[in-house]
Amino acid sequence: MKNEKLLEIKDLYAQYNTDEDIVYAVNDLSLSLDRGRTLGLVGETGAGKTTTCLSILRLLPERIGEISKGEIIFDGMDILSLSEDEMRKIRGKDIAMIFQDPLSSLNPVYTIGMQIGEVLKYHGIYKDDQAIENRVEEMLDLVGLPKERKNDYPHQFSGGMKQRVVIAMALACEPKLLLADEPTTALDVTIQAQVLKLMNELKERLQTAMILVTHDLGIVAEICDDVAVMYAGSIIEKGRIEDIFEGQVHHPYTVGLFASIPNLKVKTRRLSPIDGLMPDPADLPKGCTFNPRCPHRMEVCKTEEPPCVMIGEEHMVKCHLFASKEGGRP
Amino acid sequence: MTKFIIKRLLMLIPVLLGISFILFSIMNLTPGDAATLLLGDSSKPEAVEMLREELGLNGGFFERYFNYIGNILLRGDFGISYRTKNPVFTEVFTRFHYTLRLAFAAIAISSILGVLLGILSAIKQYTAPDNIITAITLGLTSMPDFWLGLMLIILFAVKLRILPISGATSWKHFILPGFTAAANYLANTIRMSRSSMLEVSRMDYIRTARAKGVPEKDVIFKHTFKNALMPIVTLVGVNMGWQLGGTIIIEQIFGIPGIGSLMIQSIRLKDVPVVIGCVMFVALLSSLINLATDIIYMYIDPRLRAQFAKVKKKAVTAND
Ligand SMILES: Nc1ncnc2c1ncn2[C@@H]1O[C@H](COP(=O)(O)OP(=O)(O)OP(=O)(O)O)[C@@H](O)[C@H]1O
Ligand SMILES: [Mg+2]
Repeated sequence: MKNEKLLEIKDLYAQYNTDEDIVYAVNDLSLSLDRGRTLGLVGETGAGKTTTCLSILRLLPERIGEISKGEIIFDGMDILSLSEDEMRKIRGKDIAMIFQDPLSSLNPVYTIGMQIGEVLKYHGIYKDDQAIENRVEEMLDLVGLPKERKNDYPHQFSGGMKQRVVIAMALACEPKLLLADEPTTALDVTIQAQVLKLMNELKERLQTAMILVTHDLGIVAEICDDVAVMYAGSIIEKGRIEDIFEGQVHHPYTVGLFASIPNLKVKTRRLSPIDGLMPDPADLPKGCTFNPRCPHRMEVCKTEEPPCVMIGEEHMVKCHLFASKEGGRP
Repeated sequence: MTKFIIKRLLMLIPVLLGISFILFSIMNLTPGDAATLLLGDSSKPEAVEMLREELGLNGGFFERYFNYIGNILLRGDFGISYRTKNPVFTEVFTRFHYTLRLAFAAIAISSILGVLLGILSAIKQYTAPDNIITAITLGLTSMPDFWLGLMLIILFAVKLRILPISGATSWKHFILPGFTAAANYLANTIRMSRSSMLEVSRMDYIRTARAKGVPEKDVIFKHTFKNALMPIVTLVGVNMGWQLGGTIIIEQIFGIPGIGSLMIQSIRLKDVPVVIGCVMFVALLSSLINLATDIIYMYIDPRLRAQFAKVKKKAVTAND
């Protein structure tokens, strides 16, 4: 059971076919996640983080979003080959997602008790209504809301409370994998800390694996076991948290992102801006997608896609700089 | 809730008074004299004068208006029809049930069919069913109801002989006019349902529902539909108001002696009490429909219910 792979994404490509052009949002993305572990997914806005999460649930917007290539193996199942109904049974039960804007994630015309209970009802885990009611109360209790409030409607809750409801909803079935897409950005700083602490506790207790999308390196340092840095739809560096925060070798983009070689003691709270813009995903540059902004650009970067180079046992950097064994240091 | 309803009902009184005054003035300004109209142009001036006296037409404008209102408020007497000499109340009431039946048929057909087709159109957006429904909608809007009514009569009553041509003596008589009237509302109900469903389906909470593993059928009928219902309810209410106002053209084509025909007849004969009675009745009904719509809103949307509860609480503390 230990270190067993729960999720493995291989060479995933996802795109949005809009009226004007094709947006290549996820390109050749590979990652894997063991049971019970937390992966921090960081990157600038538009890097494709949300698209990656939605792909795992197969919830890309209908007609527009499309997974064009790749494989997603979850708990031994090939997600992309499941029927819609089989997929439905996984959503909410084995894989749950907390969306980027949790405040609009609750249906305004139903009570929060109904909305939490619904997950349990559709997955048939609890036999009768009373058992579901009890579980709903238990979940509210778990996230620190009084259980009498289950009959209230979303508009009667504050932002932080709604967030707790969303977390209760996501964890009600004790999913094996939780996709948390910037779960705290909509909240103010004090509540952020509370909510994260809560998520972390629940995660430990339920042995849930988690992909945590965030812009906040402080959160990554506190919560995550592994980190993946995303740029223009692919992962350009990944490794254990020590590799990323304390390792000496990094992708030039990560270096820029962390401003200086980051470290776990001096906390860098925010990603720092890098000169230039992320390339338009509808018109990606040839070769390495980062090459127009890269301070170490070489000729080869403009023409050839960089290889994934293993720096340490689990530390991967996707960059031409390290392609040869001795490799220059950025 | 009762308090809210009573308050809304009381608010109707000034509205109806205003309407009656405006109508009374307009009818007063139009040329033509009820007594002459009733007796015909060739009648003797003495006879006309006698009738004028009998109908109370000789007093000043305000005198006549206050008489009229006084009778309504004190005795519930809306006056006597100049034409039939029957009380206006009876006159309007004996005609109204035809209009009501027609309205019920039209609104039931257009709402049920309209909502179902609108939902279908929305969930099949940009595919063949959606395109077909859109084409039907366009066709319906561009078809005038008198033309559609006549075509239906020719087909079902004249050629196939399975439905009566005109009249209002059995439920069969209401099928063709019901469909003709429904056609009017069907198009706007389909369009409203479609756009409302599409708008709600883009909401974050719909994606949340899918992410929870809610089956598609419940995503549509539970999560999306209930939120999409508000504008649809509004529209059905408006349609109902229109239809109860008496669709003059449809009543004329199908020979239904409803409130629309009564109104037209009375206007021609300057039967002022009946005209005002009809309009007041329709105004009252429209207001009641509005009230019903508001109550349904509160039933659908907890946020509105909360607002109402707050008003109620405030009122209670104010009374203390
Ligand atoms: N529905 C859509 N239609 C077209 N393009 C889209 C759609 N959703 C996302 N995109 C595009 O796909 C790319 C990746 O978007 P995504 O939402 O995955 O980014 P993200 O990493 O989550 O960004 P953020 O940090 O701002 O949430 C962006 O360029 C975005 O413009
Ligand atoms: Mg995002």
